[in-house]
Amino acid sequence: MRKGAVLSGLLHVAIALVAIFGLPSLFNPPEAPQPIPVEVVTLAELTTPPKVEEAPTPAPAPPEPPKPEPPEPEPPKPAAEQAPPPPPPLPEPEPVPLPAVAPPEPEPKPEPEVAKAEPKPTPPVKPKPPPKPAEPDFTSVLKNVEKLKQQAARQPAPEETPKPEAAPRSLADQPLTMSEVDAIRRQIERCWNVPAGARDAENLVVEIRVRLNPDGSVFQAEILDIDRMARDGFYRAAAESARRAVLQCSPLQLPPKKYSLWKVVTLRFNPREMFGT
Amino acid sequence: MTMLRALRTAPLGSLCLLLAGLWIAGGAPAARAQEGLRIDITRGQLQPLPIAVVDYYGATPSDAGVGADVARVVAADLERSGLFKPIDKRAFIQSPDSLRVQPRFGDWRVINAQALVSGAVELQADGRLRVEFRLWDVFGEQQMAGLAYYTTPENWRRVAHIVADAIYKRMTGEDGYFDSRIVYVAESGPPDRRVKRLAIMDQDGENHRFLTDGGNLALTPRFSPSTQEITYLSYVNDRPRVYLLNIDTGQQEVLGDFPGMTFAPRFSPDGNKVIMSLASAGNSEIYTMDLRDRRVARLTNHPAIDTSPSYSPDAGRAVFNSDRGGTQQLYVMNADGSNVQRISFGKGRYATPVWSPRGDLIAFTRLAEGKFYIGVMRPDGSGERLLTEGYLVEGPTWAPNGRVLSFFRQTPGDAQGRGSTTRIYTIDLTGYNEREVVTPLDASDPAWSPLIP
Repeated sequence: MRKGAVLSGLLHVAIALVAIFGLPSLFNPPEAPQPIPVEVVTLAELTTPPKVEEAPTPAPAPPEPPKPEPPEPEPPKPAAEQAPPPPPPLPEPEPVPLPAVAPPEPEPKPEPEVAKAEPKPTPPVKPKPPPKPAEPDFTSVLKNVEKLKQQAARQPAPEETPKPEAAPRSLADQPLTMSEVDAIRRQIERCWNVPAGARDAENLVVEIRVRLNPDGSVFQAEILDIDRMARDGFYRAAAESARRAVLQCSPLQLPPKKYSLWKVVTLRFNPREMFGT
Repeated sequence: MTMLRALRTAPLGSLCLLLAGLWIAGGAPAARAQEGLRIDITRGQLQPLPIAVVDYYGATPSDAGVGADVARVVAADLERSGLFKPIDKRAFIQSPDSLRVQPRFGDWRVINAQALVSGAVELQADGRLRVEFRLWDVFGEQQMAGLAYYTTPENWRRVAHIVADAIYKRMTGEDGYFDSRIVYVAESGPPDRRVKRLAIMDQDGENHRFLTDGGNLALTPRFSPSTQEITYLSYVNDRPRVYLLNIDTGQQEVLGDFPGMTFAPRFSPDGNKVIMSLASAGNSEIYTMDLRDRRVARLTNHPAIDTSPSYSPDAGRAVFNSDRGGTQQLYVMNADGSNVQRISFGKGRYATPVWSPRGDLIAFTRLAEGKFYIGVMRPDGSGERLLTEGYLVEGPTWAPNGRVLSFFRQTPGDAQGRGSTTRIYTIDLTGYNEREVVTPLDASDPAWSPLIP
């Protein structure tokens, strides 16, 4: 009897507890959990972040204040260092025969010996190219009359659909802010002449390692794949055009405070995107 | 609600994961710290390269005159290619004379020249002309090429083309095409009594001369890829007859009468064979003929009409057109006639396919919805691009380096055909650089030569 009363009491208490704590959520949908504050960030915003210029660069190395000691003092003699022009008189022993004419004997030329006296300062001479009008928006550097006319009639030809090129930015490992990297990229892109029309031009990917002076001028631009330079004329032409772009763009506009971050930049020239196919 | 929210957060989460993945895939920044920043450059300009071509130095006034002529032709060749933009001579700071010693690169950077061509011309004691040139990288401050040539003085123009080819090759990695010629059909007279004769000119339109007298109609010349020979079709007593003509010697022979033939045969890459279509009993098939023993072999055997074949540069395959699929389309087969595969699938009709000497593309004429197009596609049929269009554009032919095409374009006249003109054009593979080749008369059916040996 007693036992029953206790049991009943306990049961009542349990039911009361359930009623107090459980019922609201049994009949109402449970209260939404406190929303976890999550910022919705689109990719576009990522690439052009608000001016967080200063602090939060995800740099591995702390953005040191601009150490006024560059690796080399400012006017190194790149002329002397990188241009000991050993250009052999006749790189291509192309005989270039003229028939019905005297044999052409490509004669070796004496390299004009000239006192390379003047130690060239790194080319600060060059005025910046005038700002180009908004660059044309190619879907491809290769013209296609049909595409231009937007003929709706798509053919069952394989992979004819031009990709809506979404300019995939490489989000990889940029210690600078995306906007700063974008700025560098835009500067170089203005100077770069794409080798359109070469065979497999879309596969001519060139890497150039650029060493910069603190004022943004190019100290050295080095083509990385020397082997391929030597054996592939197409690659050599593409690589040299990429190097010209770098040299022509000098000096680059860069945030001086982050010199340690952009002292050495590896540029990867990849024209694939510009060929719509 | 919660479900929805959960769903909405999911992509965010995966996005974060993706970003993290990219971060890692991009290489731990610390690991590459010494390599520094890596940036992908994926877009560039499509501007011709500014190049300064300085008048070649000549010690005597006559040498200097030739030097200026050579420089002019070199600059014009480079300009026509669409890849270079010669800088106006008046902007030059350094004189040709002082250039002989060493370029002052700063002077050339100031006027935005990226490359510099200098040279010298000298008439030798033995009566030969010595032409040398140097190509300089203005920004890299070094010589990229330097060559000298000896020739007879009247040959200066060819040397200029050869120099331009050397520059083109050094700058693009691709063989040049300036030292080449174009044979074409010169047309004159009223539409009902049209005189059509063969003519030849340098690729820039200079050194023009006629090869036939116009007594018989001459049609569809085809250049051998390896010799200075052409085939062409001529109507003699209303029967098509194929001739083989050596451009240099003027020697000519008859390959035979071929009833029903509409295009002259094309050469095999080695120049020893020709490939053509022959009609018999209303059906046309592809044949080859060995030029040495005149033996004929048949490649196709199909009730449909197979015509206008062209060899691949390795001679292993051939492209032709056929209406076996219902409309006239392009097909590729092995050189023995096996393994026929259709490669074009667009609307309209495809005609006159020509395999590029580079091997990577096939050029063709396409007729769709009342318009003509010149286009290219890969040998497997992918990557079709139409480069130009018109009321009538036809007859593509490749420059020897496979980077430029020539074709002819007819503009309509009035109802009687008066006022209609037909002209030869060149266009490069980007499609943006189309130029007329100036000819004295109406001109059609161009055939581009190989580089002159």
